[in-house]
Amino acid sequence: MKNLLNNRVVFGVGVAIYFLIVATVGLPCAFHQLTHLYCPGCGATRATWALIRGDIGLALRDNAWYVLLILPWVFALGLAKLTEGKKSGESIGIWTRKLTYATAYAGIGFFVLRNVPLALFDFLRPI
Amino acid sequence: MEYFIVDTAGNRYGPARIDEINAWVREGRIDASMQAIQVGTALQFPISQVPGIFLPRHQVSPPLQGNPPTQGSQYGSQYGSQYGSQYGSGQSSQYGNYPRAQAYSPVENHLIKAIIVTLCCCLPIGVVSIVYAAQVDGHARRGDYAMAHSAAASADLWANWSIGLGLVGLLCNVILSVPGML
Repeated sequence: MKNLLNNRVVFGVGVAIYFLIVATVGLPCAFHQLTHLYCPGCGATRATWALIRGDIGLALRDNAWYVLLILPWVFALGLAKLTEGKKSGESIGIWTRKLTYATAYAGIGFFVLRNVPLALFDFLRPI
Repeated sequence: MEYFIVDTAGNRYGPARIDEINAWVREGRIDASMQAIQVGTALQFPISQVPGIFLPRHQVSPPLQGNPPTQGSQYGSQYGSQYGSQYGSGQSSQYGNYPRAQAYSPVENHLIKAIIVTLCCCLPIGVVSIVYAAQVDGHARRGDYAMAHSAAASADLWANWSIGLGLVGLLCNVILSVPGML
């Protein structure tokens, strides 16, 4: 019974409540309002909704880093966790590790570029 | 690249290619006590130092200066058992820090946490965490474990600050937003 209240459950419930709030009433981003900067995660929620509706173009427009790297990376992490301990998991582990680095470096570059005030980089900013 | 394999009794096998040697390892015909000689040279060295040879974990001694090996199954522990160490831990060779093709750092680098924090907690502090986390493996590969642990600790610290400030921000967010909704 006490296992029901471990960290993961509490974390999961917290995330569920957060997404319920975001999905129903929506939350403006305090970081964006204060700094007028676009953080690397800006547009990720909108991209998720766009993906659910099947609008891949809009999803990419909202947050390309999230769609192209974060989602495959999360998928790879899950796959690596599932194949952990198996011989076939070795190459998956190596590729997941490379993907982790790619995601990290791309995230930094994405954060910088989407805040460069040039029309050239408008496509990196969410609508 | 072909190698002769020499067992403890001095018998010589081969020459064999890497994939053949790996097949022998899987068949259990080779263990870490054996030596290898690169064809065309006279140098004899431990089999664990041959690039591309995957010895099962229990046959490889823990690295000299490293952490205690993580527990896990025979192959799984090659990639560790938890997050960063899952993709950052691995085997060093029996004789120190020889940079094998698959030799990963045994230092937990917190890179996964750093990425999640950068995405979710929405603070540039997460970027600092990523930068520190990305340095960990480089330091460990050079054998500089003090620097590796220090970079890993910095990455973890910045990530935790990011989580903390992210939560404070979220709280402010909710408090500021709720009056407008009512």
